[in-house]
Amino acid sequence: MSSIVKHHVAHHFHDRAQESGSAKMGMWLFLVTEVLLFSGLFVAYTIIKAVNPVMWAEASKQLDATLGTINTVVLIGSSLTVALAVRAAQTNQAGEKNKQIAGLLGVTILLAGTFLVIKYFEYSHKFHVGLLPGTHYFFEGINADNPHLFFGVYFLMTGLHGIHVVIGMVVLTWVMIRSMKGHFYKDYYTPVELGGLYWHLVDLIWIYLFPLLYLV
Amino acid sequence: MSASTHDHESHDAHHEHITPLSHYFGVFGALMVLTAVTVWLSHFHFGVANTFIAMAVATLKASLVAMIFMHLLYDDRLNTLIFVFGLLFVSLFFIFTLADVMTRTYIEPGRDTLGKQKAEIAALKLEAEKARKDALPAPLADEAAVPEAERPAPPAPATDAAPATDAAAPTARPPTPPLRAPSRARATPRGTPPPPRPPTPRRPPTPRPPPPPRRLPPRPDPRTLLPPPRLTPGGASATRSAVDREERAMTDGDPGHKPAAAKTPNRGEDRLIIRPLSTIVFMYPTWLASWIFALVMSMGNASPELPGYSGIVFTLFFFFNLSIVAFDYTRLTSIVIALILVILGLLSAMYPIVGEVIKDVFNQPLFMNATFYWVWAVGFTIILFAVLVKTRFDYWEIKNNELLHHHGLLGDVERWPAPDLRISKEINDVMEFLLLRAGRLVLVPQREPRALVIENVPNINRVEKRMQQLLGTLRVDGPS
Amino acid sequence: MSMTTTQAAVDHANDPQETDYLHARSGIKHWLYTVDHKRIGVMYLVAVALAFLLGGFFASMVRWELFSPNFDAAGVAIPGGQIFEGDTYNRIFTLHGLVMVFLFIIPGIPAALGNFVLPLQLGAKDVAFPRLNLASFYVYVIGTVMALWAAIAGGVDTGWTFYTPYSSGVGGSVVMMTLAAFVLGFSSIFTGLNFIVTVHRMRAPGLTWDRMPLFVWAIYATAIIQVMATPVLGITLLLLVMERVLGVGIFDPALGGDPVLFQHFFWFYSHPAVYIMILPGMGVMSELITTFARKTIFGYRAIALSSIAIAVISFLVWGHHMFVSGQSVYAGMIFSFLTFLVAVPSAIKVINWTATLYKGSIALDAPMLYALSFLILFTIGGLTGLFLGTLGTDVHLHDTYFVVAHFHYVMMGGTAMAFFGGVHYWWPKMFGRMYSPFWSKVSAFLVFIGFNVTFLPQFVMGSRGMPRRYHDYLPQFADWHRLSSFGVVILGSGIAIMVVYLLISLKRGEKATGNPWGARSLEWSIQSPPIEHNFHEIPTVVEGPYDYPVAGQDGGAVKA
Repeated sequence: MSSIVKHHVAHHFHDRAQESGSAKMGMWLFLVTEVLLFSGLFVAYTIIKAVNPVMWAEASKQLDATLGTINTVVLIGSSLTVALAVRAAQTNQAGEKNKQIAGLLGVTILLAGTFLVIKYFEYSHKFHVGLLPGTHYFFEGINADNPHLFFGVYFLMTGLHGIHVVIGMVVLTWVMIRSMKGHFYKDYYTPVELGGLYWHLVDLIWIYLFPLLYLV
Repeated sequence: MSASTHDHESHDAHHEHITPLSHYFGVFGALMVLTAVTVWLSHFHFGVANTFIAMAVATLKASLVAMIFMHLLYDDRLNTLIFVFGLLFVSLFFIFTLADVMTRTYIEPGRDTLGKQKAEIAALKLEAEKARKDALPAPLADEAAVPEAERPAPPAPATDAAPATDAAAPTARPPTPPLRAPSRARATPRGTPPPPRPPTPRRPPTPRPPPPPRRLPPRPDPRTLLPPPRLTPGGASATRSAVDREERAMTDGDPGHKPAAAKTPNRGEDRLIIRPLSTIVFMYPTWLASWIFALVMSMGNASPELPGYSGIVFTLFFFFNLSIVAFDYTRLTSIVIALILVILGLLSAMYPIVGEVIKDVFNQPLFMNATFYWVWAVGFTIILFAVLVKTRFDYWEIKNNELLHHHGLLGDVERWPAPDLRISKEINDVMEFLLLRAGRLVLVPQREPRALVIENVPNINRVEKRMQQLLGTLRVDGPS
Repeated sequence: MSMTTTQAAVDHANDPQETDYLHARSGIKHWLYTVDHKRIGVMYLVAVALAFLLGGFFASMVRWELFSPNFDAAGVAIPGGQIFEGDTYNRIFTLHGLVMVFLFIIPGIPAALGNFVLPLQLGAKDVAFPRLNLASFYVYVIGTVMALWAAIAGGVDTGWTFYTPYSSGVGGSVVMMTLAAFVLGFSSIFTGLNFIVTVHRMRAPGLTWDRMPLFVWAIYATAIIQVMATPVLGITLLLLVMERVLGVGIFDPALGGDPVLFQHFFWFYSHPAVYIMILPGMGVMSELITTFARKTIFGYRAIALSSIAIAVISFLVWGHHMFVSGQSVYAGMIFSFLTFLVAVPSAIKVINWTATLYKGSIALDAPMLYALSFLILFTIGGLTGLFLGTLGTDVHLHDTYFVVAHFHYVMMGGTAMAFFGGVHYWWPKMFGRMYSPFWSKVSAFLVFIGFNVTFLPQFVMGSRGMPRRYHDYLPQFADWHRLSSFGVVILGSGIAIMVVYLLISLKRGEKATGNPWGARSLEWSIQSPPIEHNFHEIPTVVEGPYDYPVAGQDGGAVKA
């Protein structure tokens, strides 16, 4: 049996159930704030698209749907590994699965890295040909008014999402290190769970971004 | 979790649901398939519907992730509530912002923000407007052409403050240099000398577009508006409840309608026959529609578009009926559905785009020939007839002191004492009530452990009233 | 034995003093690293009070400039300002708005008073996430520093609303100020999130939802808005930063964008934010009115649920800020209609408070004076809001001093009065000292009179066409402006007196008992100031928070 570090319930909580329940509820509230944060961009997307439908259709052809699809698969895969990590933590009787948790989280982080690398190639291509937001735009191939607006929205949405991916990687790395130190066992795995929830949200947002930007 | 005065160890206080591994992999597979589906669908061009389809698929994927991966399905319900609440606020954000942006052209058509794709629609609108303007009496049209028509105060000289202050400052001052507007782009001076409006890009300061004649939101295509399924008198009487007829027959004193299997006492007023119906009778609108279309299609030389539309209408009837059979339209559900419909209506009134989607959907003609309708009509009629026959052999009889259940071809009878019969009437399904005034009766006789449930009792309210009369008489008679 | 709110509570209140939270661990380090909600509350209180004084200073500068019009004897305008140049004036009123909104009113009652009182009223040892609570305070401090830096280095003259396209093109340190507001938003989210979880999961046994003090209800409703609306402010401000840094053009008409969209984004947060400001004030009101009328609150459930109703409806009305902005008339009509709906729950509250006063045994201590001020001023502010919510009237009144007077009646006359009342009410609990009863009443009177002298004339000016945000005006407004500026002197002296006697009371004030006002909610059942962990034993609640004995039934508590 691997050694585990016992978790102590914070003084102001009655018991472990109250503590973990509160933490999870707080996390969900935080996820809601994230959703609302992105909602602003989705509203901007909807309105600009509704006002400039022709431009939108033209400009979105410049995105590489294949890369987008690969990224979707990568991200969904990472969501699966994180879900499995949480499950491993749930069934982690006395810390014997901490290695497995760390491994699954490691795979998740690798997939997140893959996502970012692919994103990097997409971005650098666009930087190169001048598919840039606002005043920096210099691409000539789109025959419609204000195509820079599409790329403004594109970069804002994917950029903000990318930042969330990076934050998620940091959080998951922290959780991974803790699990390697043997901090988790059946009755205490809140960080794994919350980190997982955060990562799923990143996935959720991409599930919407992908069709909105690449497909329609 | 640093400072800890107590050292509570967990006493298995939280029982987490552990999702089987197969669910995780199943969801993963489903997500992959759905991704493939959405990519594949994007190669087709359904017009605006593309976005909606893609969003529907994305929502399906998202709910899978949220429910299984994120454990919302098994978690504290409060967390689901929080999440849904958040999405609700997001939708408010969408609805109201769009309510502005999408309707700006409605009242001031000069400010078309909907872009070029809508040029076609705009042109049509302008044409219609022109036609209307031509129809307007001349003075009205003139007034409409005067810029700033609804603003009574003409631009005043520099010192002229708001009309209200004019009286307070009677001495006419020589024009003074205009005050500096401190904030350059924003301030809309009111009541002070108005310097020329800072040119805002969206609304030119010079002549406002003339207030247009009031414009109604685009009228939805009449073809998409289906008449609500409704009882036509003939149809109603054809399928009207057996009870109804039975009762009428009784009060008319017509002995010919006595059900064969019932050992009937002579005094018809003292009893009540309840014939529960089969659920299929709620589909009578479809049955009617099949007859009507069968007849119409057979008459020939109808307009060439008719078959397409009749197919849509018929299918709608059919699905509507199926949904009635499939679900209980409880009051809450009905309200929710009504709300959704109202919102859809509003949306389509506010955003032509929604109307277009609906129109797109309904514009796909659905061809069915006369034979199809005939087959339906006849087949359906046979089934309904069989149901009618069945009600002759399976019915309930309530007398003032007993309750009888007749069933079976040979007239088996079950019998309960009626005194202290507990009755409750339940109208669980608003739709079924609307179609046949149907509901459910629950009878609990004395000393009977199980409740007797009679489903699909047509004319439930009348039946219940009658039962009260019948059983009420008993109370007057005194305990037996 | 578990403690209850009834007799046992009083016994405990008279126990010999134990080491309280102020003295438990001394030293600056223990204050800076504390996770104790009471200490964080006190730190917030200090910060918020300083912000209020700073914002008040800017306000006085505004009124000073407006003391007289810049006309010569013949009535000819002299270009340039009286005291400040126009640009400086614009920066000052912008700072006044920003400081008062983001640094004072929004965190004022929830973060300062709420942090201190909420866990006590719930019978909890702390909020659910104490470290997040501390983080919220530090984020607030960082945001404040950023805002002040922006103010010093370059200044901002966009008004607190940052409307595009002006804000995306103008000079000055708009980006820094925007980021400051973004950071402050996080502080607000952390507080709100913490409170929601605390209310849901940290209540003492027996403290059911319908036994929760109304202050808790109000803070809970506020927290919902904070969590739901503030992220949208975050994205709005980020977009504005992107607009300036990258020239994205979403709000820039020259690039095909839509500046009105910015206003939608901004007001989706900022209108609910108005209720972030007023709802906690309403919560304080409910506490004060019952305590000082010695009477059960009238219509407990109506007041509690109207808080939630306000929170929800507040998300449906933001368009009433945009009636003349180029928003579609269609949307304007919808928003105007919905705006009237907000009046309903607000009126429910006012009427219930009034009914609570009826036949109460009223004690006119300083907190009650503020509560009565609130009742009067908020009613005026609320009713004038209806004028502005009406489409046609608003076209005349938009961007005039009428609007200025309206929201000052609500914000200053409502929230700030409630804040003062709350501070006076819980001061003995916070610091264990009583302040001078005489001077506190003098100060309350001065504040009330000064406030009205300042802002009533602005209604008159506004309805006659005096536009807001102008650093100069026509001679016919001179008397009104002068009167208004004079009011600031009265108001300021009232607040100065308040600051002085409160500070004096810290050293020399009479020692406060556990329950100096005879109130019934949980925080008064423990000693003043409380011990570090609030309760020795988590109390079990057996009755409502306002079960005052009814006259004639001696000591007989009446169940709510």
